[in-house]
Amino acid sequence: MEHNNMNIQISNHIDEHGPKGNLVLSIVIGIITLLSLFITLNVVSGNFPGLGFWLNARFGSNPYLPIIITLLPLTGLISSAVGIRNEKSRDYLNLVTNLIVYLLLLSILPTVIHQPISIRVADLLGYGLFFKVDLFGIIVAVLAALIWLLVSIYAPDYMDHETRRNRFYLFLSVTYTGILGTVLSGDLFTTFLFFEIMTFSSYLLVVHTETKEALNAGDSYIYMGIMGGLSILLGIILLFVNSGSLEYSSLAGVLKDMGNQGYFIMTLFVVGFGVKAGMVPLHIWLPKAHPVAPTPASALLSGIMVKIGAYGILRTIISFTFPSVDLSSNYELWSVSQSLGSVIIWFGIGTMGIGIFLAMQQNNIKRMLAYSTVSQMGLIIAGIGVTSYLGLKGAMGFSGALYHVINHALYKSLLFMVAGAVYLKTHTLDIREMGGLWKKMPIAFIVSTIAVLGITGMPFFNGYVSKTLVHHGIAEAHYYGEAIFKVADYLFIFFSGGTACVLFKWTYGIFFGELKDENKQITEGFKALHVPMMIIALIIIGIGFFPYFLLNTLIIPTAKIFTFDSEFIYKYIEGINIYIIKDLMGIVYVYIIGMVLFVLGIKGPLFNLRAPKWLCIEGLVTYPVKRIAHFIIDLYCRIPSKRKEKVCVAPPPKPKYDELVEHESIIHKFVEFVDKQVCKLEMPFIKSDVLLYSMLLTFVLLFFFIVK
Amino acid sequence: MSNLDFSKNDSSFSSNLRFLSVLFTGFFLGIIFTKTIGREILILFTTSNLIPGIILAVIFTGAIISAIVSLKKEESRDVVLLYVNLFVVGLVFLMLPHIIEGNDMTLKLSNVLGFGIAFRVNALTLYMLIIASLLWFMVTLYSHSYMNKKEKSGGRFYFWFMVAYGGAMGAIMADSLITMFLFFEIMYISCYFLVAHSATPEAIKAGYRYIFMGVVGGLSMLLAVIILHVNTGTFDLMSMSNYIVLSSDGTGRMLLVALIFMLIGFSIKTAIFPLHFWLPGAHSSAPAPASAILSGLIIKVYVFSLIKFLYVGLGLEIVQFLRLPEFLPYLASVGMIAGSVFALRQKELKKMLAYSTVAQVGYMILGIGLSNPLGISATLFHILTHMITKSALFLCAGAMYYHTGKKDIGDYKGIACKMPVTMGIFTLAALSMIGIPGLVGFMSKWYLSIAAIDAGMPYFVIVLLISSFLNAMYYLPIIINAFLIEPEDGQTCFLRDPIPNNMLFPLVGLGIGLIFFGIFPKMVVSIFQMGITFM
Repeated sequence: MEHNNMNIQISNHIDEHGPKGNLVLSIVIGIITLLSLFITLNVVSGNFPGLGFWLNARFGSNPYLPIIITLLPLTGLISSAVGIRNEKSRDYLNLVTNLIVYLLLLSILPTVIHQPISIRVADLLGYGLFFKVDLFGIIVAVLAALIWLLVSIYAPDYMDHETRRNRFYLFLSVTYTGILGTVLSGDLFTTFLFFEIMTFSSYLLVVHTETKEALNAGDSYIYMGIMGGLSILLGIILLFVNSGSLEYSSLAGVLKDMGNQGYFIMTLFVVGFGVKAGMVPLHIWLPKAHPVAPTPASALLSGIMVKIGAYGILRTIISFTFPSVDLSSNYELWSVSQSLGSVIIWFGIGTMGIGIFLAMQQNNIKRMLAYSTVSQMGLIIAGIGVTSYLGLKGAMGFSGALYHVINHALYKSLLFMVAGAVYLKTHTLDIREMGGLWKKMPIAFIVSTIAVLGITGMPFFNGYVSKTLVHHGIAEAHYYGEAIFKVADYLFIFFSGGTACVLFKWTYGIFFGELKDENKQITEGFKALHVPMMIIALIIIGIGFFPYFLLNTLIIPTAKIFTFDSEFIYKYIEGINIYIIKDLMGIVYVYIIGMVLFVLGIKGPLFNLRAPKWLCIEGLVTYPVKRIAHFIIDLYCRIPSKRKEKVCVAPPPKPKYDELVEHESIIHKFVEFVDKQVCKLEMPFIKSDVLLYSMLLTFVLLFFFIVK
Repeated sequence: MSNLDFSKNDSSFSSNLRFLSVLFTGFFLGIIFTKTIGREILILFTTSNLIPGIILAVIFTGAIISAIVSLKKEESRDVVLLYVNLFVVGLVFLMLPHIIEGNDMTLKLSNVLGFGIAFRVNALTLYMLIIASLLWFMVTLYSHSYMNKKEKSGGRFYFWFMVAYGGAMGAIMADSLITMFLFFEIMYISCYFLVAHSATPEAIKAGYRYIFMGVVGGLSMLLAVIILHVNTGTFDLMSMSNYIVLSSDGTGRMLLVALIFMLIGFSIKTAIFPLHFWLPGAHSSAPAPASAILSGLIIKVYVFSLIKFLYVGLGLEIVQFLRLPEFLPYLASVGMIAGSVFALRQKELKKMLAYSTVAQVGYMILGIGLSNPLGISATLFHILTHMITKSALFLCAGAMYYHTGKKDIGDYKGIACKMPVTMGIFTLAALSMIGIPGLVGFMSKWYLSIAAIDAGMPYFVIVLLISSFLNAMYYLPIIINAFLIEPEDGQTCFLRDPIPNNMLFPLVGLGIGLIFFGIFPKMVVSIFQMGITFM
């Protein structure tokens, strides 16, 4: 039959290996990446005026470029279709697309630094879409493009052993579109559109392996993501009806006039974006979802996607609650931003603490990194809180948060890449089964050490700069504001020590110690996947040695486009010297605390503390719900015991404690509860409806006759 | 693959299908490019008020012809029906140029049935007619293979299918209460035969519920119509509000009683929350094409007629006097939540979809209950949204049943591997239900929310969003189950669904509609702005 021939049978679960990366091509692209980044940053800071003029004339005058850039990754559809036949071509296509996006973003950077590029597409989706590329957006976009390009060099070697590669690359590119759209958009509506695209497409990355664990993690991820999305949507609707505008412009007056509703709207935004940013207590999806995804996806999720949440919080707060420049001296208008900020700082500190404490307990290296991401996001959120709290004087917190977004994206994606590279050789993620790998995998060891030095804040590596800036910000918070933030200051140092401890554990557990027998055969070799790792390591060192370059060329101009005190920026941030004895001593404390904690962990019980099950958030919420549900079901099922056939189920046996917490998420429990209720109540409902109606009808008829 | 239906004796159908698609395209191109002489002739024809009558005549004649042809040869019947449907689509589109200039078309047949029947077509009516005729055409195309393989006695089915079509079109165009009632009853009786078609015990039971509730509702309405006629002396919707004075004397009380009966009738027929219980069984036990029609259109005809009755017939003053804005939105929001909660753990896919319809009807009633122009406009938009989305979902469910012969959600493990297009459309439609921007469902949520805040009731926005989340809770597991869980039997995958083309085309068409109206909602909303000015 002819139609049978049309059904080309393809096997979905090919176990054969995919194509490896091409080493030469990777090196070439890596050099292009570094060179173009270097040249563009130089153009931005005023060198090469001729090239700057040319770029401006060629790309700056094209307002359609933001839309083109946003939609360009959707060529992933084509490349994945190609990939059904030829996987090598697909990888090349993806690489080229990502390179083009990266270069296009770099080429409009010199224009954007002078004025934003904006374009409005009216009538689409009823409200109309609005793209506006300003400096803040494009910094995050360039960062995302850089990491994406490097990951797409890294991915082929790793995805080699995974299946369903075409689907993976397809949704990777759709997620990319979502992220670019989110940061390049000029109003909240457009941001929300692309934010939702990102949420749904990245779900497929989380559940890629389709194991039970992955599906559970995916459930947590998607339901929390939808909840976050809906809370943003509610905020958008309320804001739109009250102010008539969703553009990123100052609405401080409107928000203040709304009273409590203004706070409510801003809380909705913080919660909605906070889900993505992994803010405690909305973080529970993050440590589940990031480790189960394939490593390239983990690197992107942890490196870029959580930053989009932070970007959303920062963007909504800084544009909506800050008054415009001419009204900035009106103290009343800052009230929303200030009270919001004082709460967010504590949430940030809490996120740091809980994240790092849980990270210490992990033996799965990817989960360890995921918890560390939670903790680092806490640092960024604390920076955002400082920005919001200090308002006019918040430029230090802003610069610190933005700088840390860049730095964390770099070293966290590098660490995930290292985890992937180690996994490819050892085939395990358990840190107890590794050890002594430094001799066997020297490249991984070196880049990992660089990343660790970056994340722990060693001077002359990138983390030191941004951590110091955020630290300055918190110091200013108790200098200009409440004295209670002194506590936040101490906690900040202490939790940074915790980060150091976790990364000591990482380095010690993987690279030092005793070499296991099964790892003796490992040889590393030099492959395509090492190229992006080395590039990131180079950038980390580069930022560490020239910390002021990025600050002066990009971050301070960004701060200047928002309502910050320009005198404050000039006085305290431009020409800041971070290598002063006070800051260096801070780092010494951090390392001392880290070492102490590490020794406690190795010799003592710190790394093996298991919090009681009820303490985890799901346990706290789920267990009472389950108990109440069972109580109610018992109540229902015992009283009419004579009518056995009507009872849906026998009273279920009392659930064991561990089962409750481990195997079912809250959603499932809720569904189960509802199901039982529906099963019980459906027939009574229908009967009572009929009764109700007949009573009503009788009543009306009686009324009718009496009146007549 | 034994389930590909284009076998030898089916060739007449497929060749006709090809001819039909050419004709269809040519027809639309013709409309677009006829500029000079053709335009004159068209205008002459299109301004004729007879078109509503012709449409009904064509449909009812088509029903009878199909029954006759069906006795001889089943293949020819389906072809005849397709032509009839296409012809109706053409007739509906013929009215477009005249209506879009702001004119109304009225047709009064004063001698028919003793009291006369009247039709009126304006912009809003035409909008309903267009979506109804297009949906019917697509479903007719789809049902050919489905009915052949899965159900018996197709002749009976198609006869009542067409009669229901006539009833729906008539009820949409009706301009007087008695006409509306007449066509409601035609629609109701014929839908009973669709509901109980498969004659399984379950279907019979659902049919009983359906017909009894329908008769109760119909009688309530009849009583109301009679009282109204006795006290006002008119059936006419447009002029009715002039005669209704709800004073405290005898006549005023009688009118109040009449209105209460009318509203009871409507709330049964539109399945407003406590009176919804007949709906899930009826919509799920019908054959899939009939489910798509019942959930996708028939229920909306009642909603549309309710709008017409409340805001054209009674006017805003009486609506506010009856305090509808004070309790209708609350009933609606209970329905929105309860329908979703009931849907949460239905084992059977179609039953879940039917419960979801209960919730979605709540959205429309909410829009009506807000009683401001934005709310009405949102309701009208949601009619389109739900028409596309729910009929796509039902047709996808039908396609899965067609291929696997199983009805439970648990049986659809890994089915996306075998039916990628079907599951793709299903996913799109489900995401639209959840309200993902870019799809049509998001826009109706957006408009409804704006309307709710405009009416000063912002808490309904929260109810809407909770309902969205519940939607996610029961649609996502199906999708995850279909895409990510390994199927139990083998792992062969196809690039193209193993269902015939004529089932696939309507699905793809609805899928395109989902995205198109999600991105360009203004095209539809501008029609409402033209039509709602009469209120």
